[in-house]
Amino acid sequence: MEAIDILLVEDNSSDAELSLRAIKKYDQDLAVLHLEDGEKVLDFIKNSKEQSVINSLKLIILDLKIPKINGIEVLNHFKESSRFKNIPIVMLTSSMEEKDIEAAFNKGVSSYLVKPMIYEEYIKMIHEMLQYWIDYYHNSK
Amino acid sequence: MYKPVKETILIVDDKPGNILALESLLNTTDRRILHALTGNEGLKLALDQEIDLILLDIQMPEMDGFEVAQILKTNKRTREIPIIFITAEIIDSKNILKGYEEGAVDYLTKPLDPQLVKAKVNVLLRLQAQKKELIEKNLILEKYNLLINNSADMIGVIDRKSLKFEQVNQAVEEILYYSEKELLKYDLFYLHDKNNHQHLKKLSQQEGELINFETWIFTKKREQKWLHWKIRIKGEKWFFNARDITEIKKNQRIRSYLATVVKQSNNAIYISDSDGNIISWNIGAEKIYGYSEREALKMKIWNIIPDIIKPEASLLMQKILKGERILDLETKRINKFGKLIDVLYSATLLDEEKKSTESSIAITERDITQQNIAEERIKKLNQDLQNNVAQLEFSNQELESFSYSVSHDLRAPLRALYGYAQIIEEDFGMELSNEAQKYLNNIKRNAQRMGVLIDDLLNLSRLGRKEVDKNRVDMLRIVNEVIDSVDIKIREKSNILVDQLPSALVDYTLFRQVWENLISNAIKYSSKKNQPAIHIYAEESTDEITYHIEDNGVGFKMDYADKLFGVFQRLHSDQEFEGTGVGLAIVKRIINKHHGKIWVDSQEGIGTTFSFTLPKN
Repeated sequence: MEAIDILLVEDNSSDAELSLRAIKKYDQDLAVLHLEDGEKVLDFIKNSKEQSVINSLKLIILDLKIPKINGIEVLNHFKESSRFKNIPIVMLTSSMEEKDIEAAFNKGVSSYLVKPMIYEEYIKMIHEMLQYWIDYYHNSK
Repeated sequence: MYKPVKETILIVDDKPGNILALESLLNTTDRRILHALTGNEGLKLALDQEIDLILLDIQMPEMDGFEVAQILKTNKRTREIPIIFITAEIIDSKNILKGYEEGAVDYLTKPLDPQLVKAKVNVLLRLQAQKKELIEKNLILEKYNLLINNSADMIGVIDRKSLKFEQVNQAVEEILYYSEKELLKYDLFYLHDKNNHQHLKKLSQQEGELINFETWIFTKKREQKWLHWKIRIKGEKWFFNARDITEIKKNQRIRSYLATVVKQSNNAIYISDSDGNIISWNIGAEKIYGYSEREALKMKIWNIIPDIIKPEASLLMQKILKGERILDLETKRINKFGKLIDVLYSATLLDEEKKSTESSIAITERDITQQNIAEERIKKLNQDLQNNVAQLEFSNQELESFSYSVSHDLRAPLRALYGYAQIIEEDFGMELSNEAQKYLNNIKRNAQRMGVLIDDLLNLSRLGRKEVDKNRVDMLRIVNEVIDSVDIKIREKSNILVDQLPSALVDYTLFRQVWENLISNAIKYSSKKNQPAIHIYAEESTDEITYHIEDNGVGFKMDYADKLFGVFQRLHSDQEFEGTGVGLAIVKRIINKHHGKIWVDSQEGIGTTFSFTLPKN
């Protein structure tokens, strides 16, 4: 497996495609691993010890409402893992519910983004987000 | 004084001659002398009889005196009996020593000196008698001590002059929480409130044998307790018994309160004896039945029971007399004027320990005639109401969560629809014909429009769940803020006039939305006029404020007015005026949430006025 820059957790394949497209548009060279549900994420966390691929991991983009194990629980697992707890996590969801936003920030997400309906806005938002978390944040460390 | 009991002396000697000699020497009228020729015999007598002194020959065949003494000392009954050992003629120092080791009290050597024997026996008997007396006295004292300290009452001695405590039993700890020692530092005054000191002083001067009084005192914990003092006067001392009667006093008070409560109660509370004679009758019973207490006391309970239920009531009475309790039984009674009354009947047997023919029955009855009629109706109404409310709440909740999740779920495919259309355009735009481009644009435009619809729907559903956060809000400021946010060209063209507006107690965010929707509506529908004009003004009455927003726009037929505030209700086509038809539904919902009302006046071609009221408090 190649080195990973971004982990994208998203169950909706259309949304995933939009996100991937936006990321590639932003930077062709960013390596993205796409996982479709919480269970796969837990496996990934479990097996990450032997994998050097995550050494380059810079950002996790996490959907809130994903099958099997929901986004908040997955978030918990990331934050409890010493290997992942310092990697910024961006919640990307369609929920504008206050309780979801509160729960996400309580569990330590770095950003909470609501998916825009319009394609151009979607792309723009992902770009702005990447600009900060991939370029600015990691370069300023 | 102590009276000596008849003394019993036991002489144990293997030589009858010796016994005879001692017997004659010691015999007096108040003495009984027993004798034994062997140690065994002596032991048997000592165990069987009440012996005060034993004269014991040391040298005896079979069992010598020391052996006998040893056995006597091991037995509880005989351990305390003094023994005088009588030795042989030749004094053997070793023998003497042995005698003392067994705890003998004394020693006499042969040949016996009659005077010495008499004297010693007398002394030992006296000592023994005293010892016995002491033990008995101690026993009695111990008993008394036990009795006194076991007493729940305070028992003790008080000096009559100073009223200082001189002695007190352990009960003081239970009653006053002082230790026995502590209380001896105080006097009776200390326990009492100052106002009672004078009274105590008078009591202390009172002569006679016995005084009784009740006082309340402070305990160490400064709580009040009632004590009943029973005092025997003896010289300069008071021998007192003080009983804690706090509970009794409290019960007395409660009982007197209860008596008042019973008397004043609006329920009928009365007592009948086992024959049904009414022997007590309260005010409530007077009110319900119309009989005065005087009349009732000459009546039987059968006088207030309707004939038809008398057999049944009689059976019930038998049950009650057997101890059964009746609680809130609904039954009928008849009053002085022959009117039937519905009552809730409760009855309890009093004096249960007595024979049923001597006991009485306590009865309470509540008049529920009116209540019964009203209750039935209210119950039904309440039930209906509750059902309706529950149903409404349920459907409301269901509707809201439904519309919320639908809105969310609708957005995802729409996002995909729009997104893929855009991707086709981006990736394959060059290959598409103009016509295909146009269709693709149509897809995008419709997806976009559906997005706006969903957003509005989401807004509306979120509103239903939002708590209203009311504050004093400057309505004029909100209105101006909203107008300022409108594009300047449109704003200038719209010609909006705003009067002075009273402030109101509302949720700022929600009212910002109300004004946004109403103002944008007014601008929209008057935009096609040559000279649009919008006027915002308000009126105030004592308990409400009414705000109006008037435009000179296209207006509509009033036939449709009630449809206007529904979701997705539009009176104009999209080509005429853009919109989703949710804005006014949101406005109405917000106003309703503030306990206000909204309505509309319109004339086609002339203009429309939206008005809403808000309560002042």
